Amino acid sequence: MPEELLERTDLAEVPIAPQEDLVPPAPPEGLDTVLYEHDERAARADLRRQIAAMELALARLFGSAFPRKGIDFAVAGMGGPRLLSVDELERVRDGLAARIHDVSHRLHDAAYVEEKNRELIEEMTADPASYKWVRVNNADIGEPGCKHWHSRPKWGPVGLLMDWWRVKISSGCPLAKGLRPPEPLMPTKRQRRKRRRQRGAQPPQTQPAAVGLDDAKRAAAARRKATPAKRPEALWGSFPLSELVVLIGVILLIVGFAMQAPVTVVVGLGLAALAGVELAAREHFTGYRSHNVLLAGAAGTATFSLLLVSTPTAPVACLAAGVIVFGGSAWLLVGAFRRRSGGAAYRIKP
Amino acid sequence: MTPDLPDQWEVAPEPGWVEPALAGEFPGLSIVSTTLEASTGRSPEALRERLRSLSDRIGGSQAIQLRQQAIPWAYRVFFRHIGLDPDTTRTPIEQLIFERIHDGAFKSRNRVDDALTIAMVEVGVAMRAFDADRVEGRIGLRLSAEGESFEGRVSPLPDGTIVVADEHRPLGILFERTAEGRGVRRGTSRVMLVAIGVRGVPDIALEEALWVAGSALRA
Repeated sequence: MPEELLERTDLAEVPIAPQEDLVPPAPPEGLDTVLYEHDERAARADLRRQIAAMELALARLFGSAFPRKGIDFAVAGMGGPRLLSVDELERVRDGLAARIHDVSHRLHDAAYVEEKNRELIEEMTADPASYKWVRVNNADIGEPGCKHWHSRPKWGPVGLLMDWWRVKISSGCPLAKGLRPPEPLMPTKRQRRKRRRQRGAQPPQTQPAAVGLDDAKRAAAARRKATPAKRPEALWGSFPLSELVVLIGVILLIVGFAMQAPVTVVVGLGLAALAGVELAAREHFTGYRSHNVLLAGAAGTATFSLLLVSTPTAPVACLAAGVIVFGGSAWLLVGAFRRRSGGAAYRIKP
Repeated sequence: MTPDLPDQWEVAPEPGWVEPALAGEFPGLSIVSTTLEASTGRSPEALRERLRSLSDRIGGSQAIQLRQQAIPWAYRVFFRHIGLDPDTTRTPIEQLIFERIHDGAFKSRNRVDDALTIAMVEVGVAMRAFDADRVEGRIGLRLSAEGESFEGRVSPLPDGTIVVADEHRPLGILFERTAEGRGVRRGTSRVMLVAIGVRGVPDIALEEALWVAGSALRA
């Protein structure tokens, strides 16, 4: 850092108080004397030195504040570029001083809160059941990144029922949204079949070439890259609505069987199936894991049941309609998954 | 095999004048220029490649720490001294780094702008370019006179605005707008590169900035 900016150039180290009798009265406006100009120049130089020092202090605070957000570092300008008067330089200096004071206090407060959050993470990790559903993000402890600590039941609804809790640590930021995932480097199965047909009856290679292996690896890497890092969250966030619906469905099933009430059993089955289909659809349409058969089966079964119950159609025709819907849905679902997963027709393990 | 080296170009920096009132208030304020024959237009591939490699070297961490580095800090301080808020009217180097972070890379604009970008990012010095054939006499820094204006500006400049000027008229406001027709345009054959120094920026940095920009322009 060039020290010359912080040095006093025109002033003595210890300012000497002017003798009142040697200082003439201020001249009328427009008749500034050399003496007064000189005096103001010295004052301006001293103010500029103070501004330089404060700017450096503010720059250091700016560097140490990252990645905390919402801290205002702005100090209003005076409208320039021009020579500023003593009064204006004083206002710049005072603005900088106030900003440094404000930012220092904010950082101090943030450091206190972050320390408390670190302690909370330690306590959560030691006893997750005492901090149910508590979630602490990296931003809460003043660190960059998207990592978070979340106290959740182990094995979903089972852990919820049995009161088994654990702190799950999630790392990695979600993938950027809005753009299509990258096209696969390797052609899809259908494209390979098509090319094979076009080439004619060529004998398949018994040993894959090194280049082919490399392509396959790259294609696999591209697919993995396109896979979301974690299961997509529901529209209602982290609230365990699906798990609760399954729980209610299971309870209704038990009650229905115990009381021999078929309507209760059907409602219970419907609720449990609804929650399952919701989860499957969420995973499928975000490209996380494919559920072609399950979702197509649900659509086919719903069609068959609706036609059978609400129309006088023959059961065979209802079955045929269900099968047609199943087939059509499966075809559409495979296409939808392929578009969202970067070319994979199915994915069992994310 | 010995690679073919480009012809060496030696920068001949010409110090500009600074009005005594300004020099007295801001010791260290200086302006240095050099003029060279150069074509304008789209940047050659070599220059764009250099810009891409420069983009790879600059990231978020450099942007955060930038204002603590000696030369960028000196410009921030000078901005405060002349009444500009460097967070609103960014210093030239901070503006470039901001655009790099915002756009993901230093975007290639044209040969002259790309050369200035490379020099400013490499050295940190504030630079500008003018059409040398439209600059009359030596270049310098002064305060604007009452009612003075320049081409392309409707209202007169506020009295006492610091301007970059030749010996006859203002060429633009310091760190801000250039007068219409005075900057480098299509068809400009002689380019005047200008480096503006403030207290805390060594003279050698100004010379280096001119050399880097000139070399990039001749590439």
